[in-house]
Amino acid sequence: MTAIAEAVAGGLIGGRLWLYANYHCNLTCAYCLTESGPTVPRRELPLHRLPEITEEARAMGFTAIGVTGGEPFLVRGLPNALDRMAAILPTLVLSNGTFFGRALLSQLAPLGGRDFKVQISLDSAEPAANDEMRGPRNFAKVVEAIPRLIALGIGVRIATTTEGLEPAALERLCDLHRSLGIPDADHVVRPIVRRGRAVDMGLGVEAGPADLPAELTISTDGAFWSPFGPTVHGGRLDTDLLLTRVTRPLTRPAAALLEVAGAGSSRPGPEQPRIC
Amino acid sequence: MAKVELLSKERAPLLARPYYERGDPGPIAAALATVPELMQPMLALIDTVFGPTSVEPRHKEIVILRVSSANGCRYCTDLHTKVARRMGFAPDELAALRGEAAPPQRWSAKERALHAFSEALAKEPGEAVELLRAHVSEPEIVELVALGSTTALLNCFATALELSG
Ligand code: SF4
Repeated sequence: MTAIAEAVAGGLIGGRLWLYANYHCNLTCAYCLTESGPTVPRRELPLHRLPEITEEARAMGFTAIGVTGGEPFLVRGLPNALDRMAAILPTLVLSNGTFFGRALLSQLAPLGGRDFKVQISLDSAEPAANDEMRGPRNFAKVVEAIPRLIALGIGVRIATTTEGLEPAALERLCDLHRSLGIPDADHVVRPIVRRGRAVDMGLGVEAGPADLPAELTISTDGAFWSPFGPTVHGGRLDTDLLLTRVTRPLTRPAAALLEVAGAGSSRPGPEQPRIC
Repeated sequence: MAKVELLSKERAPLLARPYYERGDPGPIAAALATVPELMQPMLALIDTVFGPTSVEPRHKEIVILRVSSANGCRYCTDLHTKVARRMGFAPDELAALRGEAAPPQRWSAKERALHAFSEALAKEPGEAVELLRAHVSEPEIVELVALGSTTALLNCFATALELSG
């Protein structure tokens, strides 16, 4: 058993390795951790690195891959890379759900029935409340996209990021996702984390390494403790959760993660996919 | 103003945090923190080479300050002038080590050799060791070259990044 496989099995670190495909996005959500938007500089992991890192991750003992951003589907050629990644490890991609038109769906079709899921953000069953945070017409696009993906045989998860939903509002949201064919097990609700744009908006809860499970996360800026690590505030990368700048070979940042997690900073918890 | 960000305690990466536990780690560590994996090996090298070794501290300080001044490193020269003054070096000795005067007549032959060695190491490294041979053992030669070379590395690092105290 590798050191990573042991640490995953023992709950010291999460089994999912996260990849920040990019930092740009078509939306500008009020609580965005990465201050993403259409005008931010285009910073991406080179596309060929995604399957390459996935292969390294599998060999080391990681058990799954998560792809996030920015909006990953703004990266040209991503479906092809996902196809290769899903053949190596179970793959989850986080998306804002606004790009699932005919062209993208046909590129994703080969992923139907595979160990591949798309996690789409949806914050409320009320279009106005959802769109207030996530932008005009976001709700409509998301509820159109979900059945299209499910029709292709692609699993969909819903992520709700909230300052605290009233029980009745949560119930309406759960009714909605069930009606769209998404079971409760595939609905994640988590608080806004006060990093990135949420700092300026005065939203969310503070979170340091002791609050965040150790989940190795790779971006074009380096390797981080958690998918909540490579955040951006005031146009500047946050470095407080940076592990190493080196990401190749993956053994280097993985060793740093184990070193820090082993030193007692880790508080393993449930998987906490980031906002998208 | 340094040419790169000197990371504050709040922005210190995880592997860098131990270096901030006792306050400001200084500009060299704060610059290295941007690439945290460099910190432990580089600071361990500096710590080992500059810390207690078989060469006596006064002799080591002659090398550190003269290599730094010969390399024109303002940050290291200013810092080690203060260190040397605290160690008891007299004003005329400091002037010699800063390259502003000849070594004092009262210096021993070994001290003069160390001074000459340090100048040579900065300017003509291939000539440096022969200046020491008559005065120190072979292990000391290795140690003093390691000390002078590490000093030169820091001189280059501090000058290139425009670090200041
Ligand atoms: S939260 Fe996600 S969808 Fe919203 S701006 Fe940020 S990256 Fe884009």
